[in-house]
Amino acid sequence: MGTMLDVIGSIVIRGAIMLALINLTIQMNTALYQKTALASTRQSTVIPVQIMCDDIYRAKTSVFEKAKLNEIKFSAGDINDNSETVYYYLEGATSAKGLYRQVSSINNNTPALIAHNVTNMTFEYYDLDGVAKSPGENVGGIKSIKLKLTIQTDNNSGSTFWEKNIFPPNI
Amino acid sequence: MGMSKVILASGVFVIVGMYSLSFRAADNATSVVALAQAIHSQTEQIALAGTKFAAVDLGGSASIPTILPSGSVNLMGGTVSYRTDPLPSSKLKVTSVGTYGGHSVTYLATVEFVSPRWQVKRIYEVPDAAEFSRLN
Repeated sequence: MGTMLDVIGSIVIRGAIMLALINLTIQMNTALYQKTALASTRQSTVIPVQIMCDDIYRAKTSVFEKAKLNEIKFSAGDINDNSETVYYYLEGATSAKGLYRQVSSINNNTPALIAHNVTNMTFEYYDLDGVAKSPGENVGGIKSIKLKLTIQTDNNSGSTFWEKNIFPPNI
Repeated sequence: MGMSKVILASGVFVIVGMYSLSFRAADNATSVVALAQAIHSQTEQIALAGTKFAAVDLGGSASIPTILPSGSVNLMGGTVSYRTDPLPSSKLKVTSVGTYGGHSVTYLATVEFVSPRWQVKRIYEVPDAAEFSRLN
């Protein structure tokens, strides 16, 4: 009887250890999946952010046609100093929207999707003295722009946030 | 300790070790992005300096020199190469290429004489697909 109890106890303990191990593996796997998804999102966020920053850096006049909280439209110069209009906006039915870039000289002003799963895109505008300007249309005297962008992972397990101050040298 | 316990413990160590390596790879991917951004920013500053060098080399006279400034300078751990070309209306174009840590950024600037010196009036970063690919 004593031996029987020992065997049963041993099986129970071994089972508990195996369950703990399986649980550990599942938890580790989930954590790894989320971590990898986040790293992947960070990597895929770099290029849209860089494109936006480069475009805003090209701003040619300090009067922005649209200097709104969630969208921006302005005149930019290309490397030959020709003018073109650049427009960034979010579009989508859900909270995770697409980020669109529309440039007057590219593809007949056809918008291009440059990022998806964007949950927040905010612009702040500042004048020469660093005083915030009210968002609106045809806002003048803009000297710097602060961009805040949040992009979530495909499985919505996390998000990456970018914040950057841009000082266009030509305005 | 019995052999079965040794095998069990070894298995646990192997599993945890494999996950640790994978976590490390994911962390590394994130830090690579941050490092690439930092190097890119540094390269931009180096390239920007080239446009200033060209403007300074032009001196304090409105007359355009017969030999236009060009050069290569090592600074901030990188290198900037700049070249000046004529443009209409007494303006000049400066092409400045900054390199640092395997990254490369090119600026095109228009310089104009505004007494008492040459000044950068317009400046654009040249889009470069290869540099974009280095960012992620």
